[in-house]
Amino acid sequence: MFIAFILAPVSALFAGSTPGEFFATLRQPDVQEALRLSALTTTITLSCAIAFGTPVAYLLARWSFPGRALLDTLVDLPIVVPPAVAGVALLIAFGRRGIFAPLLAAAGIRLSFTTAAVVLAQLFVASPFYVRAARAGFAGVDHRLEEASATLGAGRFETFCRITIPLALPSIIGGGVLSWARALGEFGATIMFAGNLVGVSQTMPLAVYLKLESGDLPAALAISIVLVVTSLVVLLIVRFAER
Amino acid sequence: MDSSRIDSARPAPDEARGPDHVLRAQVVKRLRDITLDVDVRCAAGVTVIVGPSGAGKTTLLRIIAGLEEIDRGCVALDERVLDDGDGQFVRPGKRDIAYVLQEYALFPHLSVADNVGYGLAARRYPRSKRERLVAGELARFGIADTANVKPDKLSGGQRQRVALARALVLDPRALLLDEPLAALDVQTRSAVRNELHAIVAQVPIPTLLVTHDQADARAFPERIIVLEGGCITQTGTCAELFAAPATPFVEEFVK
Repeated sequence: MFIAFILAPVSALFAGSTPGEFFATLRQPDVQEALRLSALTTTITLSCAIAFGTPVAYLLARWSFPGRALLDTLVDLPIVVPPAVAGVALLIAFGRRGIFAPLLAAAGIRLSFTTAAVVLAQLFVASPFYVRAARAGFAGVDHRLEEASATLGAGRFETFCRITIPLALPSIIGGGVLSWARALGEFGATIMFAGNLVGVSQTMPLAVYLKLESGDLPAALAISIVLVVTSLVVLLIVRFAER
Repeated sequence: MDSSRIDSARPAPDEARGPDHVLRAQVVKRLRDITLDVDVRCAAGVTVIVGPSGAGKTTLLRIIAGLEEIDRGCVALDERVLDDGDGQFVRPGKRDIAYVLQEYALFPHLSVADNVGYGLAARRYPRSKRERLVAGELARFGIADTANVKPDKLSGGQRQRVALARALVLDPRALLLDEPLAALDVQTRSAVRNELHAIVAQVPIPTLLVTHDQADARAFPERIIVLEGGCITQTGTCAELFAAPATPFVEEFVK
């Protein structure tokens, strides 16, 4: 029953579209813009998640300090907060009339309704998936191996690069892929904080919404199929990485 | 597994090694339940440390290795102060002390050769020199055929050899062994113990061996330290311990 319930809508997507319509849609300029923008923003988001999330994940896995449990919970918070709420929160914080608006304006930075806002929205909702997985990966590395490395003469950074990272790599890859997929599907926070402008903030999920609103069902289906297939590939990669 | 293989594989002891090294650990350190308060002085040869679990045996090794700092006292190797409890602290890799951790802590993602060469790489030895030293060390320990194998494919005895090779390739001035045989099953333990005996006999440096196994104390009977509740309760040869056990623990241990 349950399997059928999952399978039915997914197969309906494929049944509702013909190959001709599918490829014709993918050639539309605004659809191509959405594809390009999604690829660009999710790549930047993933890079930022890895760059900023890895130290946090390591900190949470390896160090005990006052407020660690609180920080741990805080990092997970965006996973349970509704994306629309995340969008409002981002708008209130970094929007044109947001709390940090004077600061950003002084620095000459405008965030809301830009591509940068898309990245921020994705980062907010997607990076916790990476941090969670990486933290679990780091915590799973036997601390004695790092100590052995230290007694053999490796410094902290060298130990991190040669022992900790390679041993946590399956979790890091799994978390990175999941977080990337979450960023790719990001809708609520993006439309609130970044709007729905072709070429600027209209990523693929937003394009699906717009196409459906404007009555272009085949286009909405085609983009959806791309997203479903991508998600499936992502799941397979995660499975493979976990092994 | 026989020790003669290692004997014959190893070159004659290096005459030019220099004077005997002396390891001194005068340690006061507050632990969770006890205070470790010991004064240990080791010249070349094996000193066995026995004691109930929680007595501070592993902590003492960790302190000497530089993985933990002391509160007061002095850890020194020859004339070099490694930790004076007051700011002077030499970090683990810079102490010339090899530490073989419990269960060996071999790097599971690296081959045997890369495990043995790890410390040399950390010391920025050029690749050619590194490969030559690793090959020599693997041959000396009779594990040259496992160079490209990952540690999880090795037997317990082979793992010990890799751990010792990884430690000794750096030509340390002192050697710390934490329960080196505990990870092995009873059948192989005595053979591997003989092997260990043959290896450390050829390395004339201060060696501290922590164990809870009476057979290890018998195998290295010259100097035994009994550590209980953070304090040394008896020292002596194995025969002396057997003849006059000073505490109920020692009495139980020699039974």
